Amino acid sequence: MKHMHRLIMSSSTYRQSSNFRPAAAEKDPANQLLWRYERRRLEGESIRDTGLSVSGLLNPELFGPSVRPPLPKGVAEGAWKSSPDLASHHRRSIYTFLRRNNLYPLLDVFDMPDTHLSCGRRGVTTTAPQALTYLNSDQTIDWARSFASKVLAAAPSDWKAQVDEAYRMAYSRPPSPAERDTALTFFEQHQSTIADKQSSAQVHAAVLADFCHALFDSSEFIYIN
Amino acid sequence: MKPNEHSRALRSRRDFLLRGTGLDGLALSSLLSAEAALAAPGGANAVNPLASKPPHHAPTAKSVIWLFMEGGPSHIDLFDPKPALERLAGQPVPPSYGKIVTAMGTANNTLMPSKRKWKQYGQSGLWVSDWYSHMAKHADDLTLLRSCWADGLNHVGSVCQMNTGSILGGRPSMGAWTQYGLGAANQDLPAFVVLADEKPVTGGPKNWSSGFLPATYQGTLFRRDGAPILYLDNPESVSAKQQRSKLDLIATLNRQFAADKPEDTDLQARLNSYELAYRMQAAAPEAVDLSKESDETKRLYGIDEPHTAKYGTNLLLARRLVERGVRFVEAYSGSGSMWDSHTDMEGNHGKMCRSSDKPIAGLLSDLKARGLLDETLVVWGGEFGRTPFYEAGDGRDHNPWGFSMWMAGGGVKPGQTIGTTDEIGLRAVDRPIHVHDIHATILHLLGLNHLQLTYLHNGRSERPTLVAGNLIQEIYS
Repeated sequence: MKHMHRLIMSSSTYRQSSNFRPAAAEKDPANQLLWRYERRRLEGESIRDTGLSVSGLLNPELFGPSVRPPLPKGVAEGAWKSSPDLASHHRRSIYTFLRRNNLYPLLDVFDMPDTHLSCGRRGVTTTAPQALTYLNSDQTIDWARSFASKVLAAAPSDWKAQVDEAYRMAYSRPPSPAERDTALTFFEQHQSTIADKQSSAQVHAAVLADFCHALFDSSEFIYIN
Repeated sequence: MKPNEHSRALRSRRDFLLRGTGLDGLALSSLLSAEAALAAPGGANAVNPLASKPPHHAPTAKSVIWLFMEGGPSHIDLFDPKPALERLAGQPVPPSYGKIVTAMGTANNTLMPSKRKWKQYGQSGLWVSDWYSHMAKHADDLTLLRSCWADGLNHVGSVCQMNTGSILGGRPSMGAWTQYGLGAANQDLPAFVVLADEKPVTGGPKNWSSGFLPATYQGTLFRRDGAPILYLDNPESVSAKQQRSKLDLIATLNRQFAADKPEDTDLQARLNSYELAYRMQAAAPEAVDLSKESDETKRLYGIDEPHTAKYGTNLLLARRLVERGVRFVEAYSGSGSMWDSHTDMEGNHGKMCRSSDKPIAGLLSDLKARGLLDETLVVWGGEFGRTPFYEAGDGRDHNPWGFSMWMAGGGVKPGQTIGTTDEIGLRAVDRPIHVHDIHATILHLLGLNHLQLTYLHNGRSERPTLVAGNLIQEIYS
C-alpha cells in the first residue's frame, strides 16, 4: 500500500494545481482525463486544525485519551463537561471526543458525516450556518485575536507590514497590490465602527483582529487550489 | 457531487445501461431523466443546494406540521373505542390472537377497558374520547387512520422509524427528503425545524438527520433559550456596524479569490452564504418573536394557562414558521418519552392530553382562520400505540401492531375514518397502513413521488420509503 500511495502521490497528475484551462475544459468539461486536480474544500477537522495552527494556539501534543472541548452556550442535548486541562482544548481535531448523539458543532456544520452509519464519501455543502459559525463563534473570534497578536508581535507598528505578515502567515504568500489596497482601505474605514475606544492601540488591535478574522473567512483559507 | 469522482471508468456498465443503447434504452433514459436531475443536487445546483426545485406533480400541501406525541399515545383511550374490552375485562387475550411478544413481556396480563367517556363528533361522526374534547370540535377537519402499524418495539427504534422509515439510525428523515426534493421556499430561514417541549427527544439528532443526503438538509433543532439557531447573534462585543464592515471585507476577499476562477460555482456559493447568513440574522429572530401576536391568538393556543403554555408556544411558533415558508416543522409533545404510560394511564395521559389538546385545537382553528390549513398538512401521532391489556395494574405496554394517527389540511379529504383494528385494538386488520405508506402519502401531498425521489448512496439509489410504501389514496381522492 505504501508503495502505491507513493506512486500515486508523487505522480505529476496527482500534483497538478486546480487552475482552470479553458482549452482543456472545452475538450473535457467533466475533467474525466484528469487535466487538473479539482479544487476542494478542507474537511471540518482540517479547517479547525489550520485555524488553530495559524493563530498560534495549536497544542501539538500527541497520543492519549480524547479531549472534550467546551461546547457553545445553549447546547444542552448530549452535552459534555469540558476537559479540565485547558491547554488540551487546542489539540488537533483528531483528539476531539466523539459522542454519537452530539457532534461537535464546528465539525458538524462542516459536513461531518452522520455517526450512525458508515460513510463511503463525505458530502461537501456550503451553507449559511457555516458562515454564522465562522462569523460569530467564540472559537473563530479567539483564533482571530490570537492571530492578530502574532502579527502585531512580528510587525509592531506599520499597517502595511502587518498586512504582508498576515498574508504570509495565513496564505503563505505576499498580498497583491490590489489586496494590500483593500486591506489598507479597510483599516481606514473600520476604525470608526469599533465601539470600545479606550486607546488608539486598542482600536488598532481590534481592527487588526477583525482583518485577521476576515482572512480566516475567505475561501482562500479553506480551499485547496 | 462533482461530475468527476476520480473513481469511475469513462463509461461504466451502469452508465451504459442507464443511458441505454437501443429503443428500450431510450425509453428507459426518458423515464430516468427526471430522477437523474433530482439525484444530482450538487451537480444540478451547486450554487445553492436549497434553491427551490419543481415538484414531481402539483402539490396540495406546501408545508407539514408534524405533531409528534412522543412515548406512544393510547389509541384505545383516544380515537379507537373498543366496547369488546368491557365484555372481556379481566380476562386474558383470547387464544385466537396467537403469541404476542411485547416490550415488557405483558402479553399474559388481562384485558383492561378504557375508562374514558366516548362521543361521536361533527358531520362525520368521528369517535373521540373526553381526553381530547377541544380537538373533537375539529372532527370534520380530520381524517383518522385507525390501522397504522410499525416495526419497532422500543422507543428509540420506533421514533427513528416514524421519522426516517428505519428503526436503525442513519437514514434521512422525511424533513430532509422534503428539502432535498423541493429546496427551501424561504431562503432566510431553515427549511426543516424541530421543536421540543420537554426533555431531549428520544434518540436525539438522528431523528432529524440528513443521513446520507448532503448535511445541509438536516433539521434545525430550535433552542429554547436565547437565539433559536446556534451563532445567530453577533457576539456581544461586536456592533452591527462593525459586523457589516467585516462582512464587506470578507465579500471583497472572496471576490478577489474567485475573480480568476469563474468556473467554480462553489466559490460563488460561499460568497452567497455570507449574505444569506446576514439575512438569516434578521429573519430568524423576527420569525420566533411572538410579541406581535394578539392576546386573543395566544389564548387560542392556551399560552396564558400554565399546563398548555409550553406546547401552545411551540405550535404558535410552528404556525409563524409555515406562514414564512418553512417546509417542515416537527413539534414534539412530551419530548423524552413523556407519553410512555407503562403505569398510571389516567395520570399520565390525563396530563399529556391536557397539555396538548387545546394547543392543537388552537393551531387548527388558527390555520383555518388564516387560510393556511388548505396548504398546510398537519399530522398527529406517536411512534406507536398501546396494548389493550394492562401493565403494572393501571398502565399499558407498547403496541406497534395497530394504532391511530390523523392528518388534516394540505389536500387531505377530511371527515374520514380509514382502517380498523381488531375488536380489542391489538392489531390493524382492515387496510393496514405501515409507516412507509404514511411517508409516501406525506411526500405525495407535497408534490413528491417517493419512487422517483432518489439519492445515489454506496452504489444504490436510495429512496425515502426503502423498498416499500403504498399511497393511501383515499386520503386525498
